[in-house]
Amino acid sequence: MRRRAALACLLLLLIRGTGTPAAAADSPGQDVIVLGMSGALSGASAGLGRELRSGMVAYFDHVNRDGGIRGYRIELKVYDDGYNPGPAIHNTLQLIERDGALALLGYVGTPTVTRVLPLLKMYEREEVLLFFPFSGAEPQRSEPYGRYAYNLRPSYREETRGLVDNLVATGRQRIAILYQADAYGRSGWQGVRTALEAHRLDVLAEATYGRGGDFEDSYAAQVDILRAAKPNAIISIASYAAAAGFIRDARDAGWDVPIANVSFANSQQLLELLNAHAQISGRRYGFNLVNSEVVPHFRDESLPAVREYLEIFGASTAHRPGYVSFEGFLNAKLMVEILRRMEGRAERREFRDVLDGMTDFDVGLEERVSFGPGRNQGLHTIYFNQVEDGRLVPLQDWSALRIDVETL
Amino acid sequence: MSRLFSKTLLVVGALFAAISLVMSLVSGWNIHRGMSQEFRDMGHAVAGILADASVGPILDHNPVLLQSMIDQYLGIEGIAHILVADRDGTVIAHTFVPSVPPHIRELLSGTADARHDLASGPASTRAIDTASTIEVLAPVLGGMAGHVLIGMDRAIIRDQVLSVIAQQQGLMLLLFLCAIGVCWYLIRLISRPLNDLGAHARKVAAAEVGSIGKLSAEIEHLAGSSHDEIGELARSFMHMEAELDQSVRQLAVSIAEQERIRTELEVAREIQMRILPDPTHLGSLHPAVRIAARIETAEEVGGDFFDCFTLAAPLREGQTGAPGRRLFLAIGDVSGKGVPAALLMSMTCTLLRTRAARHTSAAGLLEEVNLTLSRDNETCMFVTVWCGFLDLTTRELTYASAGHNAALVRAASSEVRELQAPRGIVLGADANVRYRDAHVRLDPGDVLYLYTDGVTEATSVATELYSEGRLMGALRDSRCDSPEAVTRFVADTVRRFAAGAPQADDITMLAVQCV
Repeated sequence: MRRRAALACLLLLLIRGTGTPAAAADSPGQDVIVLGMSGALSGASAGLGRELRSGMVAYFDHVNRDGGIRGYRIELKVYDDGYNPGPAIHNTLQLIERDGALALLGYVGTPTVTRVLPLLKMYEREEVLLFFPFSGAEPQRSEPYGRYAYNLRPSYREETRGLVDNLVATGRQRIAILYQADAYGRSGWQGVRTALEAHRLDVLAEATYGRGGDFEDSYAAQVDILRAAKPNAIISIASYAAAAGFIRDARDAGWDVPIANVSFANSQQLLELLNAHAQISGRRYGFNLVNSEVVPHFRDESLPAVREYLEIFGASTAHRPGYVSFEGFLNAKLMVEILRRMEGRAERREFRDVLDGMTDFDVGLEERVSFGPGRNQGLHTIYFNQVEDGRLVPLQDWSALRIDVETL
Repeated sequence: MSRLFSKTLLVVGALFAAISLVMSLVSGWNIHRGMSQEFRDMGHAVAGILADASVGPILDHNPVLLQSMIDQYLGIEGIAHILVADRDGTVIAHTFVPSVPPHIRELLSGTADARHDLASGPASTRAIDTASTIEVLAPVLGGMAGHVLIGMDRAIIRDQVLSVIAQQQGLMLLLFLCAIGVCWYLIRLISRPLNDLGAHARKVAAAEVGSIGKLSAEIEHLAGSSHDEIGELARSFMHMEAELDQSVRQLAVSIAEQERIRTELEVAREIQMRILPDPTHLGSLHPAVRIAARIETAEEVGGDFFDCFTLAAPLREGQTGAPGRRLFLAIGDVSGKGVPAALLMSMTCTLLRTRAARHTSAAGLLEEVNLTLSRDNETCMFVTVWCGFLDLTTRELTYASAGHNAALVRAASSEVRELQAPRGIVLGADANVRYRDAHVRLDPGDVLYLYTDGVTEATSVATELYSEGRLMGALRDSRCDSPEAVTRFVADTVRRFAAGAPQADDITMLAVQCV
């Protein structure tokens, strides 16, 4: 009897002993810095969220392996919102209230981020900040919510301005726009419109598609609407699946017009979809495509950041290198730098001072990163690429874009 | 399925269909009206809220926030699309895919001028009905900052109406089926005993005499168990069958009785006819005369009779004579018909036959017979008789009549005459009546024609009487010289005259010709 009782006690201890750390995982442990992310891990934009996460996680793992930040391990809590605002709000509340996230990092998408911003205003007293969202939209860059967010990537306005300026400079003034019927699309639409206004031009025509549009959906209606206006360039503010679907339908309809995509339309995945479809249809879809990117090409090893990325990322995950994971990698690198400049376990109230003091930080790119009062965006350089032999290569010459015969 | 049930089913079905249709139309219309109003109100409310909320983003030139805001409202059921336009009518945020339709752009084209219409009063939210939506247009800052347009989807109203109608129709169908079930049960409950009664009635109709009473046992349970109209009907059936059974039995008895009487009457007629001489034997009665007779009775047992036989001449004192020198002739008619008449006729016939030999005077014979008949004649039945004795040697005829038609004589010259005689009173009326003889000598070749009133009173189809005139004409016209030919000719004439009309009286005739 005595032996049995002793065994029961031991069992109880074991259960308790294993139970405690498990419970600790839900609330921040003593040696963990929790960062929270909500993004699309499912749905039509799942590729973006997964790639961005993989880039960030690769760098955080690297840092954690080297002893973390002053001994504190960085933990990235990730929740799936499927690129939908409702779940994004729920995830954010969960990250702040339950997971005790120090900061929010790497949210994916404009419609989600735009809806989360008021929440940050609500948590103003707790000083919850959103870092480096995967969105170039204006709300997180300007008042009234710009003060709650810090961006690394350039804005859509800058991306679209880059596209418009280059297109106009090469004689393409009849610019039409395809955009997602939501805040992301509206953000790009506004960017294009503003950029065209600078040239005293207006949007020639516009067509929309619903958020969540898949590659399998038909975009023939949008093609017809835009084609009717006879533009000589299309700027597409779309997800990669919808952008690829639109390009497919345009090319299948025999329309060769140059189509420009912004960085959100993850050029790599877009190309993968088109290449896969080309295998089936036997057509070519990669010509006359331009993509604006917010980071340099991920294989440009002349840059220290790229070398570091390829070394760490290539060693840590099965994912292939790409723009989005590279951006995630840079996000994480900058985040780590910010945390390093803080003290102890890091407190939210320290962020402002640290960021205000961040000037000309070398993240490993040509451009230096600076933050400060009124400066909540780190990078401003836009990169362009095109497709050659089924691969993305930096765009050297805008005038090399084929002239669409229809608009001559 | 009983016919009663089929009819009821048809009527109930039609009734249900009509009610269901009317109800669905009314509900559909009510729901449509109610929901349309609700949608309009909701559109007004949402447009108003959005118009207020849009002020900031519009003035800040922040279409992204605006878009983010209207995207949230798109989740509300019934909202098909939302659009925000600035003061110039330029669309700065919308939820249309793939593009803003032309009719929406047309709606907006008027808003650009709104700010020029300040004189017409404050700008207000207004609803515009289109084919597929209810568009609600709300001004932002009185239209000076822009407009918000909400499209409420009519398809939801239509779906709701259809869904309610479908639900209602389903419910009605269920109720209908239940009602049919209950109806079927009730009708079966009612119609089965009725069917049983019907079948029972057919059995009763086909039943053998005497077995009706036994059939009643079949419906005894209906009469006993139910106290409603069915039970009442069953009891009436049983009562009626009992009555019917009794009546049929009585009828059978009375038919048997009638049959027996008819048989007896036939026997009586045979007996009666046997009393009369056989007309076929009359020809050989005596070589000095040729005789023919004919009797056609109106009923089975008639009242007419005739007689004819030879007698020995009456012996005067000291004188003997050879028998067969006298011929007795008689014809008569009993008042009434049937058995009583036949009996009286038999009696009269027998009396005449048995008493004739004692008399040389026809009147005397009649007086004796009358005496017998008048005695105890409580039934007051009478007989007319003409009788006579024809002396076959002298051809002298002694005759008398008791109320009978006068005899006729057709001479060889075709002349017809009536034998005059006192008509006398019918036999049986008064015992004290005296009759008087008449005498006539017939010439050789003369045909003495005796008949009953059945001949002269034979009626045509037009109820005209044959009459004595026609009879005498017929006798005259008969170019025949034998009694058989005369009687046949007259009978044919009468038959032609009657032309198939039923005759009320016997037709009897007797003709005698002295050779």
